[in-house]
Amino acid sequence: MKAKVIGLLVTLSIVAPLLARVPARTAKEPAEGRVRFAPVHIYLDSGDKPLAAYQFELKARTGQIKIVGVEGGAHPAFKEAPYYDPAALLNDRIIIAAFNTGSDLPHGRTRIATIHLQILGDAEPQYELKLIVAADPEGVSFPGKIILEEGESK
Amino acid sequence: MTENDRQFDDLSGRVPDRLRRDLRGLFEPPGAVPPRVDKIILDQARQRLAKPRRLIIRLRWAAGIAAAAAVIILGAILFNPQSGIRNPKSISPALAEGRADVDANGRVDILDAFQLARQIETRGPVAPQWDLNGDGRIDQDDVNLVALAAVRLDKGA
Repeated sequence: MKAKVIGLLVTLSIVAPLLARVPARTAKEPAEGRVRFAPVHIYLDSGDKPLAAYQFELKARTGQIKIVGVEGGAHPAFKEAPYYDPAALLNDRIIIAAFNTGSDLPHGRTRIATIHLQILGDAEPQYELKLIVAADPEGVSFPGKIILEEGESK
Repeated sequence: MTENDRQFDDLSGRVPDRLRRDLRGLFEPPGAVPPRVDKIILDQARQRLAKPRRLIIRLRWAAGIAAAAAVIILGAILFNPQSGIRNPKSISPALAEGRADVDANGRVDILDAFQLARQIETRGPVAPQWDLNGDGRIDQDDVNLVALAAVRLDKGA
């Protein structure tokens, strides 16, 4: 009898915390709905300055998205995948940054990154995109213009 | 009284006493076990049977206590916000001390990593505190650590 009680208590002690950690379905989360994948392309216009480093933040203001992947940019200087926090994957917010110490750098408008998203539900997400910093080869920051373009969803 | 006893009793008038005594001696059941011997045997049997049962009970208690202790330790590790196991990417002491702020402007961004990378490439002066991973060298690994500190989602939280 004692052994059964101990066994029951131990089982409860293990199962209860695990159950408590399972996130309950929030009201925001659709029980059912359309799921599609779409890329968003991020462009930065550095004007006449060579772009050597950038950092920006993207998040969904409305709608439900999950970030599923990050790609580098179009110019060889930023072709490699940029820096981002892996915790941003399957999240709706990400900070992305990259730099290049070389001399072959893009000018003007250039695609700096592509972010692949999973969009949940029928609502079109609205994004908030903020340029944190853009800098020239000397590390001097300048006010670049950052633009988001939605790609074709699948 | 058994059938044999009755038969011998029936013969009591016709069988000589001596033969009757001999026959009784041959076929009579042995005498009863003395209570002292009986008690000793019983005690020994109890002792022998009790040993494994006590062991099983002790083992069950030990297993229960060990399981409870394991649950408490696991819970303490999993639910302690300071635990590095729950959040393996938890901030390293070097980053917590603000050593990733290479340009010392009060915030950590990609320009800190950029400046450190340029210092390394041009073999410019480097400060010992920029050895963020503490491996005795200031190299690309430290640059990566600064860059990752810049893009962390929970920084400043």
